[in-house]
Amino acid sequence: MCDNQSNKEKKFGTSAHDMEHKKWNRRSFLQALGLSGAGTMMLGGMPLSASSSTKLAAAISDSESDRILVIVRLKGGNDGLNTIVPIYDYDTYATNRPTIKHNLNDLTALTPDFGIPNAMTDLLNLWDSGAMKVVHGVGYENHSQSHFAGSDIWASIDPTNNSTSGWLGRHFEELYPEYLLNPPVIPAAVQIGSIGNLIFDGESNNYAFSVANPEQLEAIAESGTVHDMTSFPDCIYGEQLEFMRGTTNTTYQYAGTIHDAYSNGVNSFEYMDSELGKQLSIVARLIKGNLGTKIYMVTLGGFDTHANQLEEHSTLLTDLSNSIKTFFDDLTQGGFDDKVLAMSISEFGRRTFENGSNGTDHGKAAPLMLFGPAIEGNGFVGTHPDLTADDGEGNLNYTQDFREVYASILENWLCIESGLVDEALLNTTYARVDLGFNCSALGVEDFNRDRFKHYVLYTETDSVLKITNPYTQHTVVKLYDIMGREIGTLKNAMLFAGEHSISVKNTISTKLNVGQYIYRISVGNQNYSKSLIIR
Amino acid sequence: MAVFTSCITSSLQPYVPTTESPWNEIRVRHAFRRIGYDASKSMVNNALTISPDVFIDQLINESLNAPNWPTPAWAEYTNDDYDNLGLDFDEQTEANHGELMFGLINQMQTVGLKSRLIMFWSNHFVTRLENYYASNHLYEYFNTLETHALGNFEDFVRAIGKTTAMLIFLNGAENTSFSPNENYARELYELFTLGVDNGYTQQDIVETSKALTGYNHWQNWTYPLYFDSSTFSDTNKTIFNQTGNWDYDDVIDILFQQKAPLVAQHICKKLYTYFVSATVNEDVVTEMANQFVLDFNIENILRTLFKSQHFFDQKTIGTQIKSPYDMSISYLKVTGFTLQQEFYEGMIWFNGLIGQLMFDPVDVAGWQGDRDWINSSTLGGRWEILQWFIWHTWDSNNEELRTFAIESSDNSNDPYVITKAIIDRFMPLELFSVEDYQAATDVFKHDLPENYYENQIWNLQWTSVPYQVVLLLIHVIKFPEFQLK
Repeated sequence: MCDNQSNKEKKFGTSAHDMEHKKWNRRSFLQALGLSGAGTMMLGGMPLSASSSTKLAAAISDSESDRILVIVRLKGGNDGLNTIVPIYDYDTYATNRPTIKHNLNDLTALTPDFGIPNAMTDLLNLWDSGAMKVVHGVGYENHSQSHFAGSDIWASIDPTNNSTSGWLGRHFEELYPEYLLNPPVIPAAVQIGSIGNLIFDGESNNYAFSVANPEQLEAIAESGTVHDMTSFPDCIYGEQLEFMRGTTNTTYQYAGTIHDAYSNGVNSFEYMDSELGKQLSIVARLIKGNLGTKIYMVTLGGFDTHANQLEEHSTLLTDLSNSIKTFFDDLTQGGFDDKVLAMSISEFGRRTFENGSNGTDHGKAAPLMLFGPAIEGNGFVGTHPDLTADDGEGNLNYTQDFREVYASILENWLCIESGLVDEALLNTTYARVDLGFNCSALGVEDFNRDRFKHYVLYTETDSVLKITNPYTQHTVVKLYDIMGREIGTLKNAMLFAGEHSISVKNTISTKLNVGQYIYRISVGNQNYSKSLIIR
Repeated sequence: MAVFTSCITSSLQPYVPTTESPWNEIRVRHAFRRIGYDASKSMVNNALTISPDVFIDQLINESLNAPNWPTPAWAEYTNDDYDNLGLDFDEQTEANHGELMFGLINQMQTVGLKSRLIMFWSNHFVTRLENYYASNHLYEYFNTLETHALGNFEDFVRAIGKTTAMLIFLNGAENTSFSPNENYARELYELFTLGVDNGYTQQDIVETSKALTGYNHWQNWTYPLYFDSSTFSDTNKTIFNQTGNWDYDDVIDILFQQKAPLVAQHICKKLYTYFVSATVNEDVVTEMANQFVLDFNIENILRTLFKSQHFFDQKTIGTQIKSPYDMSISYLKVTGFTLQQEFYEGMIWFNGLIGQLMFDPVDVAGWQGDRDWINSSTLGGRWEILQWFIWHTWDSNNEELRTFAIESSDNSNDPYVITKAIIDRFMPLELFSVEDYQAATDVFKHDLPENYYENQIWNLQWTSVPYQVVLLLIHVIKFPEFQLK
């Protein structure tokens, strides 16, 4: 009789090709990894194991563990000189911009040296109560004047604009080593607008729950679903749409959590019906509703004032000032005001002199503003750039590297251990700036700098997993497909301290197709997971 | 599902365009997506210049006239042949599988209906590659499908049951006069021709299996099976009240003589479900069956169905959930993006991951399709695959992203117009929630300052455009409607 073999373990498709070397653009390569961005799906079929906290997470003491950072992105390049006007050198200021200057009697002095225009007077309460600071001349060497490169650099902190991850994305990567297979129960960050910005991109994941505009977030927060489930067309198309929306909604895992917080939180004040007002009103509800997310980014666009600056800038500054004021008034009602720090960022400042269209062109250094009672005292940090000693083209020279500001916020506001701060900032130690807040002495252990490390090295023919063990320990590495199904074990052994290499292709007995996979490392009681590619 | 009358009430009468039911892009795309695997913009534009009647004829005739896949060198190789050639059996077998599947994927993009019917019939006359494995068996089975896909159904039934793949899968190979195996007899009636408990009894199955004996002989499992009377049940059998010393061909003859209307109804229901909607209109199916029973000609019944008011009814559009291959090929056809070789081959793997491994349906009843394709897990998988494609284009051919935006919007410089044009090319109908267009536009606008749009400074020639299209596509492929056709 015949022999009826069943060959279930055979894989169809191609064997691995030795293609001529393809030059993969690094940005796309890495951004292709990671499952549908944060806040979306969980891998099917993966059992949720109890997520043990990293030492990092555990080390953030309770008193500071509820601190929140709100980044207010002024998109387009904010004209710093018409925001914080240098009264001390008013003549130079005014001569450079005769038409679009603020008149002296249209300014309110914060100190004898600096004033703010009328559009910003809503911020005076915050200033007077010691809840507003301005950092002068923030920028960096060879400051980019491109919106894209500039925004990328402010997000990645790489002035050569090669990095494809953001400073906060890298921070989250450290905080959530198991993110792919075991994400946190709340979104790590919430982002409104600025879709595609690098700031929350890690090496292989984006960590923010992002929406394109506040209306979208509001709809999600109110309903708990990403897609409306209350209204459909008739007949079969409507039924299928309902089915697809329902399933789509369940793949967005954070919508329900956001809804719960939003329902719990209440706005105690009325916000302007404006771009920033709408965003901050939602953020305030999420904070007051105890969402638990520690980082938010909101976006106010329109700062690229090449023409008709006075009117447009005034509208924007009014929105900014009133919304920030209302925001902190609102937070005070919940006792959250001293837990929140708001920070403005912008890709560049603008020229000292006006152009021919009653506007200004792209510049360089500009002030960065901080808001929140926790900064404990108003004031100016650093030195204002010299208006008479610009670079010859009207660009102000920076006096404060923006990365030092980031470092200070990571270490002294979010209470990240110093060495990890440096890592998040691309392995450089930037000086810390006293911004008025700090973390109480934690008395923490000095984090072992020789920590567990893992990454994938891509060669022309292979994908090699590199592991560094700080000490000898039992190490298990498994490989999964993007559906979360286990393919095989790459390692299950006692590994000595030091670096190890695992050739993924050569270790797995089945042939691996070109595509994306997930590896998971278990050492001690900690898991780490990331994507890798086979090509 | 609850029993109710289908809400699509139009008939099988030919569709003639009217002002309420115009011959427009939405209908054209609907036809391309149901009949084939979608279309490029120029194909859509061409279709609009001819009548639906002529258009359907063209699509069907193109498939009728398309030659079969060129017979591969390995079509009849057994393990002995590979040994003689000094080749490794497993390695060659896998390569052969890939070659054949890759050929079918290619055909999906050029001769849509024929390849779709191959997929449909392989999901009707189910066999599973993992059971018979050898590539010569695969080729024989595949060749039978492509030869009969638009032909006579009775001939089809007759031919498919003798393929080695089928004999292995449904144990015809083990069905002998000494030890009968009823598997094929049962599935022949239950799945392939009549439907569950529809016109046959257990006794019919027992008797039929005796008539099907004899196809039990081969040199080894890599060789084709052949008939030998030594294992044939040489006795009278009574099938559907007909008694005689029936053999395989007699079984098919008797089935179509005695049960033709039931067969017609069963097959037409399957065709309806596959090409129109999982929610069946019984009246239309009966009308189809009344025609199909006359000649059992697949081409004829499909021509009638595809030209009908019912097929082109507004309420028929968007009512199906795309299969994995629907989704993948459709994306490529609409965008026109180039995919490098190993990605095409990787497509076999990807679509398998999300539930559709070619020639390996989940079980003998075939993939039920429609909602069965979708759960949180497979939906997430679909998004991953599409994002993979999108990033591939960004990496390898990113000017194609710009071309796509220009082509879709006639080179507009209004981001809302461009966004809507791109979205509408993918979706079966205009979005039900209009605010979705605005949110998508906000994504497309990316990081450019608003004034660049307001003052019409920005246009599709800007260097930022390919990346903007990437962001938009990533957003759009996650729309619920994206999975509908």
